[in-house]
Amino acid sequence: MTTSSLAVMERHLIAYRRLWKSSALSAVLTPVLFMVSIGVGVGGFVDEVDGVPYLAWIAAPLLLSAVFQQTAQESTSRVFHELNTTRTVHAIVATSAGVRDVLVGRLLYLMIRVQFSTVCFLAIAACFGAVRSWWILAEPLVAAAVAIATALPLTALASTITDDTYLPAVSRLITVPVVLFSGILFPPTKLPEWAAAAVYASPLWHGVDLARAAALGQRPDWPLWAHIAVLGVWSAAGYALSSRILHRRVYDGNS
Amino acid sequence: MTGERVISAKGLAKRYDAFEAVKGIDFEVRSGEVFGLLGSNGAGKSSTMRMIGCVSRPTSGELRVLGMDPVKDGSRIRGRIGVCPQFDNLDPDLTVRENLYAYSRFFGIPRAKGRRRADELLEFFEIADKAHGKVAAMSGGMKRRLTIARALINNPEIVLLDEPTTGLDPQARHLVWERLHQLKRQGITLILTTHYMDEAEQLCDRLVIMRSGRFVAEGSPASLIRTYTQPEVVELRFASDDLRALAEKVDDLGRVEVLPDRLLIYTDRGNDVAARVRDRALGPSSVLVRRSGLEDAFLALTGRDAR
Repeated sequence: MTTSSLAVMERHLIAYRRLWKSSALSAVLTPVLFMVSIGVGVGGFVDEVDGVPYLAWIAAPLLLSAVFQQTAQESTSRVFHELNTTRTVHAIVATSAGVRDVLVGRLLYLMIRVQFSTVCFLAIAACFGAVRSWWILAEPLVAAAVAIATALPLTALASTITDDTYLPAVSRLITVPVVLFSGILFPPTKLPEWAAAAVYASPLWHGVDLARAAALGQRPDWPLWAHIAVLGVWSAAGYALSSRILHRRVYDGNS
Repeated sequence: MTGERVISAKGLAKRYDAFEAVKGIDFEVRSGEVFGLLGSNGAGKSSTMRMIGCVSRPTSGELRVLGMDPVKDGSRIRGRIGVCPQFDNLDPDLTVRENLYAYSRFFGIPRAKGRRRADELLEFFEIADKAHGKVAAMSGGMKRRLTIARALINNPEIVLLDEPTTGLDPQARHLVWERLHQLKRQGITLILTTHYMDEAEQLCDRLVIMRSGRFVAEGSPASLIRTYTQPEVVELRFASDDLRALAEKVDDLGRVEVLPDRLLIYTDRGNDVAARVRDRALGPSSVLVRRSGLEDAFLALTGRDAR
């Protein structure tokens, strides 16, 4: 991380200062509303999953879904507009800052936002009895790992798009299905085998399994090292790809 | 041209897939110089600027900027130059002042110094009263000034200006020119591309004319005018549309250029030629004798492309 990466983060924070109230409110409120409506409403029919009340079973995963969506938004339409509409990425890379700073700076900024909504949501979830273990203190780490493993691959994808009519497709074909089928509202074991395999490939499911285990003080379905490995592969591949694609786009391949 | 060499290029070329934008150009720029790249759209000016600005890798040839190699030392070179791109890419999410401040941070300039520099530049470009407004609320001329101001935030040794005044009204253009003159007086090396011959004539110490990725002429504005045109021009306008036929009737008087709306006769004795045209009773609707300018040299060199 260089001072230029911090400068890019600072740029995002300056811009965010003007909209943080509405944005932060919705970032916290959305998962809370889901928790109340589905946790209490649907939970009334479902009763318990693995001996845990349904609301507690979905609470921490719902936060991860909010983190995932927040990150996806920042990494797709925002990246697209900064590359194609306002071209502010081109302005940044004409300075001492380079592609790496554009990527790392945005991740740092996302971390701040994600950590803020994580802490706020967990405080509220605790009031609903959805936090049952001190392991919850690991949840910010899980949220950060999911945010990175989501942001970088989606940035790579968004950097290849030059026509904004494809943006809704990214949301409908990737973001929404990933949220619906990542073991948040029901376990992937309820799906046919081939569909479950797709779920296990998504970075969100690995965060969900870890977050649920942390909130409930249980052992995760997959071993910790396997979760770290999958999230790590998504992050590393996402970084390598987005860095390459951005280099080609803004520097014609220059360093 | 006494300053040290700050940019040098040998056989510099840029190819995008099948399109060869720059086909091997050689040039040098010395510090404190104002160096202009002229040419029609697609002549290779912006591609050349992007290579100098270290945001585009040369396909072949040698390029040195401030003694460094843009491919290896891109970030270090970029830290010492300023870039005003052809199209404004200001940050719409930030205020005018924040645009300058945030940009200063990308160069690693400390916060307090960045703020001070931002305020100085807002004053210098007469946009201080807009400091806390949004970029979107500014006029085209103000946005352009802000983009040039942003290019100066790091006290660059070289400033690249890609069509700095395209699309501006005359007042806004003159204000930009005046500021660029001041930068020149401060000893900053300026490299600019332009379509405007008056701009090139006013600002540039030396310029090159590009056509299809190559240099077709190089020199000071005065020397280009001397070399490629006669000192005077007789401009003839006619009611008739058949200018080619009329051109044949005066082509013994000097080199004749047929433009869409008039004929130009290049000569060293404008008044004589004008009198002889009148004697031939061709009935021009107007006859004007003027001194040749850079535009005439440019037309002589690239005229066929322009039409």
